Amino acid sequence: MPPVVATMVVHQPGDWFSETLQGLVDQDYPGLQFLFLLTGDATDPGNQPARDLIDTMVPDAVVRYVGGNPGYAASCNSVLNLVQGDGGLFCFLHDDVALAPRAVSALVEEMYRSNAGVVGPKLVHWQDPRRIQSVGIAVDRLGVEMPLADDGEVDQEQHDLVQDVFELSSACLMVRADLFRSVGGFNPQLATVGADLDLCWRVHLTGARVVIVPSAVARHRESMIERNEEDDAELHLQRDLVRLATVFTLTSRARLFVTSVEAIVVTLVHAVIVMVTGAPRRGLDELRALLTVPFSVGAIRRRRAAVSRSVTDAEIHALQVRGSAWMVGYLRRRDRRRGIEQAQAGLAGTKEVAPRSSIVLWSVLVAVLVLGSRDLLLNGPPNVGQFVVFRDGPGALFSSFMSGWWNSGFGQVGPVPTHVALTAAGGLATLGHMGLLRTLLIVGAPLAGWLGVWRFASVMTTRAARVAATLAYAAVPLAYTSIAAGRWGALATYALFPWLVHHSRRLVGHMPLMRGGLDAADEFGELGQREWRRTFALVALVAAALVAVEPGAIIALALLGVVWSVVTLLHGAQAQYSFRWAGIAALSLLAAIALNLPWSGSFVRSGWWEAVTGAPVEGGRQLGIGRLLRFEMGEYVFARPAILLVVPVIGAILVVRGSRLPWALRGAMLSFVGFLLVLLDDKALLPVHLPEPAVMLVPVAFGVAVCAGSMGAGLAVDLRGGRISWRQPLGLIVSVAFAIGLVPAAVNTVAGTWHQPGTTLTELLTQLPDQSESGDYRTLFVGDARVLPGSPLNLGYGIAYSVVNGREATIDDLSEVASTRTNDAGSRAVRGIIRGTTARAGRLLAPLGVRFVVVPIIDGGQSTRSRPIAEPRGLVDAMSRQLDFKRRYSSPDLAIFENSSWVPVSSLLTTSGAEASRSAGAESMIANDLTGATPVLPSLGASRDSSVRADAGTLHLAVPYTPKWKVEVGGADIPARPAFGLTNAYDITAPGTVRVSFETSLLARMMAIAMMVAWLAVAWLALPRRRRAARPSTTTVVTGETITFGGGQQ
Amino acid sequence: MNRLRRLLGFLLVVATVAGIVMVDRHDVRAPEGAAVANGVLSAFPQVSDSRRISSSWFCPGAAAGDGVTNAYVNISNPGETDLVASVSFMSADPIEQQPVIVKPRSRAQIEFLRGRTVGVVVPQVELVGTIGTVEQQLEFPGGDVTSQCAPDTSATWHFADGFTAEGSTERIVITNPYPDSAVVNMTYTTKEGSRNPANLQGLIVAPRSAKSLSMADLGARDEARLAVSVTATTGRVVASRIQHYIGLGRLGYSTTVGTPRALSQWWFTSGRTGAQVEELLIAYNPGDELSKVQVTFFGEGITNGLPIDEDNVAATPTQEIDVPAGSIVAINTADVADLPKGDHAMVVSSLNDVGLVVEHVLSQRTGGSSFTAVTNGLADGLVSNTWRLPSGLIGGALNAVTILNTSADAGTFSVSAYGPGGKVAIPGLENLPIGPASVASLNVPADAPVGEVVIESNVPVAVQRRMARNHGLVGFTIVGGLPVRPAR
Repeated sequence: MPPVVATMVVHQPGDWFSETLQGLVDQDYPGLQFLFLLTGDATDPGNQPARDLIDTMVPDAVVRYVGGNPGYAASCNSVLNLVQGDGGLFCFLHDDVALAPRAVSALVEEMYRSNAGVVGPKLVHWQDPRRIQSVGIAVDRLGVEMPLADDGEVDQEQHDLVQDVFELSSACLMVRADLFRSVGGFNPQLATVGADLDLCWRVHLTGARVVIVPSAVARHRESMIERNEEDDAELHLQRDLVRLATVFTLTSRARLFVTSVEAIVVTLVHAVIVMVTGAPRRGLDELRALLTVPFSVGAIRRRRAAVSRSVTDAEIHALQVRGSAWMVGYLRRRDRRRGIEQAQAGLAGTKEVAPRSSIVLWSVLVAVLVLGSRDLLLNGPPNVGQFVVFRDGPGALFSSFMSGWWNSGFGQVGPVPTHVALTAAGGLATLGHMGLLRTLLIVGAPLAGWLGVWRFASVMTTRAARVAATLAYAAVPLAYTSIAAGRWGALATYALFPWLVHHSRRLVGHMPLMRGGLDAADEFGELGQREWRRTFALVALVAAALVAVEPGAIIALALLGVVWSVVTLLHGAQAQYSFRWAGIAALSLLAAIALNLPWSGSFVRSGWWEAVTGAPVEGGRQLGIGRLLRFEMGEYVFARPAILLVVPVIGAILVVRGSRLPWALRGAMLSFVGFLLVLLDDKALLPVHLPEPAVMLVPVAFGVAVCAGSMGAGLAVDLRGGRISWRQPLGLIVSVAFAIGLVPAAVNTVAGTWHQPGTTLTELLTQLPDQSESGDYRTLFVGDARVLPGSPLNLGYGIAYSVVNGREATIDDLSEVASTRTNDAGSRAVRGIIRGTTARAGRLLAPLGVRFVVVPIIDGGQSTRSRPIAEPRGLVDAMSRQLDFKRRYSSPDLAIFENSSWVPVSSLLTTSGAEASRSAGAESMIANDLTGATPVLPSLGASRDSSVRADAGTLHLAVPYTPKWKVEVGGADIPARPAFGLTNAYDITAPGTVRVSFETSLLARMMAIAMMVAWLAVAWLALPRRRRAARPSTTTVVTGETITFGGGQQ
Repeated sequence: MNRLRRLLGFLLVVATVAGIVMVDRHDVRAPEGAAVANGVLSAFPQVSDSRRISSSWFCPGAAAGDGVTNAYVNISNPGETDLVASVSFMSADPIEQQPVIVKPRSRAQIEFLRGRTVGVVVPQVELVGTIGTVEQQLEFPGGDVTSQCAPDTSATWHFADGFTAEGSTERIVITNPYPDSAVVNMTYTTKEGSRNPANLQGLIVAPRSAKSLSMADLGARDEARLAVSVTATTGRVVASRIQHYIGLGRLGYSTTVGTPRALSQWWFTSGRTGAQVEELLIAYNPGDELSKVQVTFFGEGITNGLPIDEDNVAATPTQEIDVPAGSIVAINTADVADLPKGDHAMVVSSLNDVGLVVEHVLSQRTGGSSFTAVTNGLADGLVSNTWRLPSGLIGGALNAVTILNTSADAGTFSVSAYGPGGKVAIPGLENLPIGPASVASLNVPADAPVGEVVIESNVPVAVQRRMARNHGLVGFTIVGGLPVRPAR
């Protein structure tokens, strides 16, 4: 009988270790020697219990310390030094494998009987030995593993057949000592996973057999994952990395090219499928593993050179799975799942939708999105509503962000909004193609929202719930009409809100429901501390991004926190889970505000509510309950049936039972309360106004989706197989109504633009002169807040105004600026127009660089020809009374007036103008005509210096007074003085080259940098970190006396 | 437990749905927008009690070749700080401007013909803030003329009374203070009816200029009744009238801004009947519908044809007159039965609410001389508790101000004036009673301050002044006060 050295690697074992040792002790094989390789060293107190147990139970065992934790493979390779002779066998064991009493004997017998190089036992579950864990593993050409038996399969001796397998689990395998030495042992680089595949493949290359011996049984506890610091996802990635490295190392030269192409194609296809079907990270890991291969070419070449091949490719292929192990495994799993589902359906009345429904759903949704957006994808979305064109590239945007000069409206010294930096970062991602970024953000936002709902609906476990919820969210017209109306805020909220809810519910502790659970209670559990931290960082990051784009979304988040907190409490859950909803919402809002500092600090001022929620519409928007129920926030044809999408809200409450009921109630209450608030705001019945309805309807739409999801789960679980009652017909009616409600979305794809307007306000304004012709100017828009570009400021009486530099808004203009003297002066002038308290608003606006005053009526977004928002009463008439306004253009779409008294943003004032600029207040402007100023320095910007040759005189910059704008003439500083009590003037005494620059303070720069660092830090926390285990020593040398096969220590 | 939870959920949902239904039934009012800026009466002479950034005053202007000795705009500053103003001079030539500082509690006079010998000059005054007021004053050998200025422009202007008989001249001056050209249509109405001559359609008034049109030259020569309407089809303008009466019983010089719109009620406080007096109410209906008009008189001993009734203190109308569309009707008060001779006040009302324009023409012969005073009516919506008289009052003047209580309530009023020490009550003119629908005529004490006068009452009143013609001439001109509109 050949001597066998049972080599067990021991790493901080648990209580089970005595059972492991007992398994070894119980072996009846006479020539069995024991070698224990303990990680760490003898002085490590953590090793003492294991050492004591070994000394007690296996007193004649040889114990060696490998020092540190080099990994299983490298530790096993210690036998190459520690055990002398080739005439025996090595039996490598994990420390959580308990052998059945005759296991070693059976393995040795079969090794000789089959003339095998490697043999392994049947592995069964530690706790339940009736369930099979592994009986060998088949592998395809790309190294993808396909276990011969499913994990957990009941052992009915159906696999009790000695057979050749491609791979055996390293948990327990016996290998001939000479063979092990000749192949060089395990690959010591493989610390965690993949060592068994690599060894077995190399054994096959020598022509030796790898055989499973089912008569030898071992219980395996699989405690490695518990003791490993790497999480599941990390192991998946490692497995993919090792698999591909192994394939490229061990495939013959002749097959290498074909295999490479095969690997690329199959990996890409599989990754896409995996991502689309709900495991995006898994798919990304596969892509990442593939992309890593080129960086490992050197190591692969060295390993290939060390591998000896004794057999042909054909012989290896004959041992491998034909085709794709993924596909074979998928088909096998599908059949198995169907069988289980059918069995469960018979027992619990559940009939789950077919798995292909996910693929069909996502195929349809992507098709709808692409088809409906085809014109936007081909030609880019028009500049409508808030969809301003991203004119500056990432560099310019970053410079602007860092400058501390916010060039919105009349400009101001202060923190630049976070969204500018985020856009710059997005520009980097698209390699500076800002148009592409804009298109992707607009078209991709709905997709992001759908994926968020898909992920969230996983809490209801059944696929039917995920399909129904995603379909409902995709079918409400909110996203499409937000695109039509050009509403960034609404679109961002639509895209990110579901993700916030999904991760918030994980933080709260809501766990996926037990399928078929009939108790109307929630399932709760706790995330691990690390995962909780990571998830919260994710929530904070998403909330911060959302707030950066749409500050008003905090109201939607607060609504969610309050409503679900109350519903959870009323529904009988423990109070702690109820309060967590409010707590998580509050914490995420605080985190979002903190991440948006210093910009969010500018909201601490009077008028902060309007800064957060946007300018109100006095008297309410008056959209009406019908339009609100149809989520019709912009152009949308055949919209009426869309109202049926809300039917599941009622249906879910009536039909759904069991553990799905709490979610139905949460969805319904979120919808109802959210809708009530929107309706109250629509009629201006709230003491304060809310963000625009397109934003506030997102929680409502999400509530509808949750109800649809619980309805879908209810149909699959509650209404199948039970006795016939009123629920079944009601469920059918709701389903039919819901199906009809889907039709409008399909119809609206036909246009290909989501009905974005053909002619926009911006296009109509192209008739205004280019700034380079007559100097920089500003355009003042006055009218209903809904049709104004930029960030409107409410004046009351149903009138708001906004100011943009040049003739169209830029990304800087999308957030409301804090009050400055120039803003106040602008507000005063416009209020003077609409209240009739001055006929000289033109002169009041002149030092502010306002050349054009536009009253938009139809912007093509929220106000269209079919549904125009009327001009505020008497506004154009009031403009016509202004003594300095020339009417440039007038149509039903808009009226444009030119301020004949305007002064360019940077200009040399006339003598009388310079004299007037020394006084402050209305007197200095109304009593003096400032016309005749000479424009200088076109395109003044804080992120760049401007120089121009200029005469002596008074240089006027129409910016709020600040000494930070520096002017030099011939290298000499010209001090700034206030002009008109509002703006900057510089008295230049001699002609020369004038250089104008903005001086960014160190504090502003530091704060901007701190903000970016904070975002990166939170992003680092939020992303699943690839924590690499300490790289194992590849040349583990275990010191101490050696042993010989059949002998003792030497 | 499941049933209880479901019930609770239902109750929540039902409550919310009920709330939604209730909210949906609620109606809300549309916001007012900029309607306030476009008040229908904004172009009538008035001052606002509200805080203003600036106020603009558009005066009637003067013709340099008419023999006017001096032409001024009087800017009154009753405030405690300097008043910053800017005066623009509009004519057929490019606009000129002049900044002005008016000292506290004083008046500034800006001459606006500035040596011109031909052409028309129209002054426009911008005042910073709310305090100041503006009137135009012409020195003319045939009698000085004080005129009110309009605080706003308008797209329409009407003139009910016109007169080109026997060599009398009448000019219509159209001023466009805006940087855009204005396009204007003019129509005029004579005894023969309304005319729309082609040469008066589509008149272009250049930006920031004034255009003078002689009615005689335009075909309305030798007309004793001549009403004019000016309608701007593009832009907004100010239209004024400059008249020189020299025939058919009229004598004198008159300048006035037009009436910006037809209304259904007009107040006059300085009426008079007598042996040597011809008093006419010229009613012009520029609309398309017949207007049924009544005139009601107020004054001592006037019963409007009814028996004296202690309880019925409000006067009752005595006349009902048809004013057909597009026509002029002259109502001679001498024809009104039972109207006592002497001073009285009047209100002209349209019974069927069809707007019309009414002017008051008073011609009186005194000794060997005569005078004619032409006055625009006071618009019904502008009767006020407070009135300002920018040019002040002449000490010792008799019957200088007439005040009509337009309400059915008795009240009191006080008269104050601004002097170097600020606003002071005029002795003897404090807390004077005024009965319902009664008229009070005031004599000015000799030592009254010469500054701007303020009349304050606790009932709504209408106020007109009789201004001396100076140069030793008898008679007077009649000028309305400036009603103070409360802040909106």
